[in-house]
Amino acid sequence: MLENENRKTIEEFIQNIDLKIAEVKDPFHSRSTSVSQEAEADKRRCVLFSHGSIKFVVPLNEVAEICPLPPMTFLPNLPSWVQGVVSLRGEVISVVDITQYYGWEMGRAATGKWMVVIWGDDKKTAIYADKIIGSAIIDFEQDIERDAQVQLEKKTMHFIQSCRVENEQYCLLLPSELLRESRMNL
Amino acid sequence: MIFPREKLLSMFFIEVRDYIPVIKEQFESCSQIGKERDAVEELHRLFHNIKGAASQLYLNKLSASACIVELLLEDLLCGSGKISFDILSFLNSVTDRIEQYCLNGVRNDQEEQELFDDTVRECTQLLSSLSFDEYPTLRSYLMKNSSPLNDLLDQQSEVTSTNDNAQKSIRSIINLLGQLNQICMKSDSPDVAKEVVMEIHHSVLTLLDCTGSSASKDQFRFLKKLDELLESVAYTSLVGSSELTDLLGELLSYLEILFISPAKIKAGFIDSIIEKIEVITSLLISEEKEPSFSSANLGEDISHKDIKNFLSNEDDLFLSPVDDFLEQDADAGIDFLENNESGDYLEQFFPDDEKGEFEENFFSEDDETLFADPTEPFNALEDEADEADEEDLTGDDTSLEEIFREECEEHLISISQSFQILEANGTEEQKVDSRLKEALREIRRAIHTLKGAAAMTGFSYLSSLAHRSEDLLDYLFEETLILTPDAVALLNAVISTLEDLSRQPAVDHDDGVEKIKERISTFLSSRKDESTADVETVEQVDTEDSAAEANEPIETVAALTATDSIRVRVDRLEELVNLEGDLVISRNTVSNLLDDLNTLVTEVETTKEKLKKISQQLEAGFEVQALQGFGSGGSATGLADMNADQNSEFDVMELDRYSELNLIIRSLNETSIDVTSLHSQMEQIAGDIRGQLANQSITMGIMQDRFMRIRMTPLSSISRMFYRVVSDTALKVGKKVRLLIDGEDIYLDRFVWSKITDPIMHILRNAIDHGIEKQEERIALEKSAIANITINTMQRGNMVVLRISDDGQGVDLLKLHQKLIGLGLVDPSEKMEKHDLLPFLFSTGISTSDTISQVSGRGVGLDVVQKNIQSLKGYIHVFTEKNKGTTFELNVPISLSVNRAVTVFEGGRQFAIPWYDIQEVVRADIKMDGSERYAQWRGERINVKHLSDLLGVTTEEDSGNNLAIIVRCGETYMAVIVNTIASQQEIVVKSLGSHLKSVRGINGVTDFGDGHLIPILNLPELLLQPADIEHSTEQPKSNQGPLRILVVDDSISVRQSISRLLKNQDWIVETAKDGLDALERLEELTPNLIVSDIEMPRMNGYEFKEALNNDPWLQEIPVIMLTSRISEKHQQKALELGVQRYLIKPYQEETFINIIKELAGN
Repeated sequence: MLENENRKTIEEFIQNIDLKIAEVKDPFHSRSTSVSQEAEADKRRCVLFSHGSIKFVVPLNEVAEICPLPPMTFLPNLPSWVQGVVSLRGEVISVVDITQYYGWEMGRAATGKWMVVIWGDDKKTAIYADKIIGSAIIDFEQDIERDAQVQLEKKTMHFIQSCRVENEQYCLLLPSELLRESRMNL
Repeated sequence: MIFPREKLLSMFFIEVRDYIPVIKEQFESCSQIGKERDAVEELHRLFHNIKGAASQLYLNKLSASACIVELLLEDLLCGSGKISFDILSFLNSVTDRIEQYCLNGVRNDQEEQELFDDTVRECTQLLSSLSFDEYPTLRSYLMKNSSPLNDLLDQQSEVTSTNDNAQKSIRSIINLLGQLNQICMKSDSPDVAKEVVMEIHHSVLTLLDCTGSSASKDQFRFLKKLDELLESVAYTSLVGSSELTDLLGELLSYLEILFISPAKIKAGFIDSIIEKIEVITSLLISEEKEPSFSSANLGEDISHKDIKNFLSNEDDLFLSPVDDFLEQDADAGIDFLENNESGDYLEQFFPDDEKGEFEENFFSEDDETLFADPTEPFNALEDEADEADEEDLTGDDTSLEEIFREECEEHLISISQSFQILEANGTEEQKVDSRLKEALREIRRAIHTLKGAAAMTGFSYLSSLAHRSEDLLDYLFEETLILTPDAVALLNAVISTLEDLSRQPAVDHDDGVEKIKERISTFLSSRKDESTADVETVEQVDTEDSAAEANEPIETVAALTATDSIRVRVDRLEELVNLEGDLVISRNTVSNLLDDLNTLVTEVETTKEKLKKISQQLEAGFEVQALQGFGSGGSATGLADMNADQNSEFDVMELDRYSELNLIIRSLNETSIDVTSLHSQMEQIAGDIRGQLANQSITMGIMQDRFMRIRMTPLSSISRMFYRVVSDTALKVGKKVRLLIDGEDIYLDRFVWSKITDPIMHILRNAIDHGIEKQEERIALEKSAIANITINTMQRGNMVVLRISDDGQGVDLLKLHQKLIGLGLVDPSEKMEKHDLLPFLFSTGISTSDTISQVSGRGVGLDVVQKNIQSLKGYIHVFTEKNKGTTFELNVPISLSVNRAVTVFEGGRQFAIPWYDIQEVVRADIKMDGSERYAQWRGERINVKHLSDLLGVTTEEDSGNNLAIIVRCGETYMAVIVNTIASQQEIVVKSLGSHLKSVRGINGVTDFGDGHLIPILNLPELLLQPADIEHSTEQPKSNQGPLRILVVDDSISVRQSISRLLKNQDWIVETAKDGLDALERLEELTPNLIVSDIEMPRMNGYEFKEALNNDPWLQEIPVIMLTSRISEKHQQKALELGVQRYLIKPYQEETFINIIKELAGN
């Protein structure tokens, strides 16, 4: 019973996200919706999800879709952080394990049941996710710790910044930057 | 960049607002002595700009207002160039209004109309105070656009829907009449006039169709007679005469009134008109039949004169007073007709006090002839439908430039094809016969259309070049009897420039274009001088040709008007092809499901047989027991006893006695029979589905083929570039070369064409520069002075073969050999044959030419050519014969998006290998030479590689099949050993998505229909490029391959549900019905894990595990017991046997998966 309720909640949540995505995508309303007003104040609605023990935040307007991970095809001759490709309604999308990209220890086993499809610069990729936590409005002026290095890694992370949501540490992903940088490393 | 319409409007308003201060500044300059003329010129330019830009944005009234000012200034410039106070006031007033309108920043039709009305009113007031003769352009313009017919149409509010359609047709006729009138005035070619008459005829026929049965008798009769007349007119040489144009104008004005105010026409009047039309038609027909009639002796022809005279004399009959024509006093529109009758509206009108009222009706709402000047860029506002189309295009932010370029392509192809006819003997003077004339006509038509399209799209510079080119074509078509090589050369240069400019239509200045324009001007001026002296000769020589031409059917026009094609964007086509690809995938899914269904049907059959057998055994056992009971005096069951008691009068052998059990057994038998029947029905349905799928497969194959054909374009679409490169290169190197192309109707994917165009052009340039000898050498070798290069194209299966041959000197093999020795590429002592040497032509830096020219000779190119062809999965061969020439044979696939492929399994994963990479599949006899594996193939030693090594995946034990795929890698062959070849089928190639740029050795992926993507391998790339060390050490952990799991359960539903769950994890699942079956399967495979039930027939789970424990190869395989037995005793037994996990059905999917991952180490 509890499981069903949970499932219902997560479905409703995804539907809600889809609606928000549609709202943001709609070019005719983008100037008049509350989302854009929030954006003007540098507050953005973001999706929160986790992979292993790491929690991520990604701006909703750069999320194309959140869905269960479809059957994946592994490709040879690719770095290990590219897990493979999936077919999403006929569209081929690569799946990236962001924790492997920077060699983070995940703490506990990740199942990668979900994927968060992000987009930027006309490119798309999907990120492994174990759990979709929810959504939150992030104040990009206040909540982002610009100089903080995420997970103590010493690598330069243009596309990722430390962020606090309800006193919890999250990694803010910037999809366009992520796509650009990861393509350079392919 | 193309902006949305709103943005364009906004930009326009800003632009005009910027003009206003400059305009006002010029007004001030107008009053300064010495600066008047410059100021007027500047004003003229500015208002011209406003007019053009406004019309482009469909601000027609604003454009018309600016046009009036522009014409006024134009007349001023032709005259004194001085602006009077009245004119300045008028200009100021118009400028203020335009400024006010543009300040609002939004389109407002009402305000625009008011702006226009005020401008017209003020202009008429101004003109009334000036001398008309000083403003001929403005006057003529106003006269041309003063069609009372348009006014009449606009004023009629009670028009029915039929009449709406009729009005549209009439409107189009009116516009066409305007064009015809212009053609007559400009003394254009009769052919152009003929085209217009044909269009008028078409409109009349449309009118006839759209009125249909709703037309009155008079309307119908009139239209029919008009139809007959126009049909005759179109085929006579009178077609361009002003008399006929006037006649048509009058007839069409009657036609209009006949539709708008039929009640006002006097009885019998239409009869008299129809009678006259019949007379003229009969005259025209008789003239048409007259063989002596031709345009060359037009003036002297008697029948022609007769018609002209008749028309002149009969004018009165046609232009009968309106009072005769109408019953009642005419309304405002008809009043205007009276003025029209006199032939000079303005002179009649302006003295009148009510000229303002006239002006309100002066320009109709739909007056499109405002933009009728063919040299203006924004003249081509067609009808309402076209306007709507344009709006759609703009609204969709569709790239007009792109559309324009596509259109240009079509015209340039047509131009090129026609030009080849002119160029065939371009080195000599040619008499302009009907064939050349037709070619010139086609080029002129195409350039004319291109000009219009360029103007419409706003590419005025290109339009102006096309306009100038038309002058040249006009001259060549109409006035030239002998086509000289310099004319052909000039035309070639013009076409080349047009082609170049069409690639960058937005360019507004180019020196090359200006030079070409100058060349045209020089050519025309020099020829016109000559032609005046040649007039008599023209008449004598060309009489026959002209006559032939006059009688030619109007096929070109018909072909133009009856085009059955539409323009479709390539991406939309791609979308359809992708959808079709998805359908193929879906069909494959159904096919796979059908396979599953067949498996189930087979299982049902087994179960059915089992049921039948059990039922029979039960029945037989019961009967035996019953008989035994009878024999011993006892009974098999109490119920049987009861029956026996009830029917005691019968002997047991005399009557069957049915107990409850007996009935159950019978029922079981019947059920067994039912199951048999259902099974046969299921088999039949499965067979039918299979048949339907086969049909669907055929249909989809055809559909795919058709789609592919749509995406493909013929060689003719790019051949003009080859002609051009040959003529340009030949000119540069001073050789005479003729290009012959055979197979221009061969189609290839657009992408493939785009990739091979450069290689072909490179080969052509090489052939001309190096292959073909100089003229004197050719003559010495008894070859024709003009060299031939042929491109022969043919289709071979899924490949297209292009053979590019020249008849030159061939490759100097000796020189090539020496060069190779010099570069240290070959051993000087080694004897090399032709076939050994020729492949070196494709090596970087190899050229047999001693000189380096602009064209070629650097040895850079053929290597790139080969790479390009290879990137298309094609290959190139070269053949050469001394003094006979060289042939390059290019083999390229027809398309790259759909291919056949074989699928192989390696390391538990499926891969597709395209057919074009596979030379052959053989069982190789692999031998070792040190650490190298090799095999013999077709008498040659070839290297052998394992696919698993190439992919960096671990694999199971060698199947021992030694199945080798022979792959061509450049000029060598290699064998790739694969474990299993699963199938061969058609695949739709998909890219790897937007994120992955490219993956070494992977061409893309394909979807076989179950949602899983299968990588398509690029074996040559895998073989030629060594594995990336970094990547190979950083393989994803999953490169160990997917888990292989054996599921053992006697319940088919349990087997299915577990299989589904595990397959969803991308694992490979094998199934077995019981322990024995499982042991049999384990002889063929070694799974990572076994999931087994306990209770199973023949061999239960415990027995199965004991058997595994007894086998040293199998005992290590982890086993999960999945059972419904929950007792401690069972669990204990399982654990004693070494089972890793004991799970109770129903299981929780997530837990189950996690346990498998944990046990299998994934």
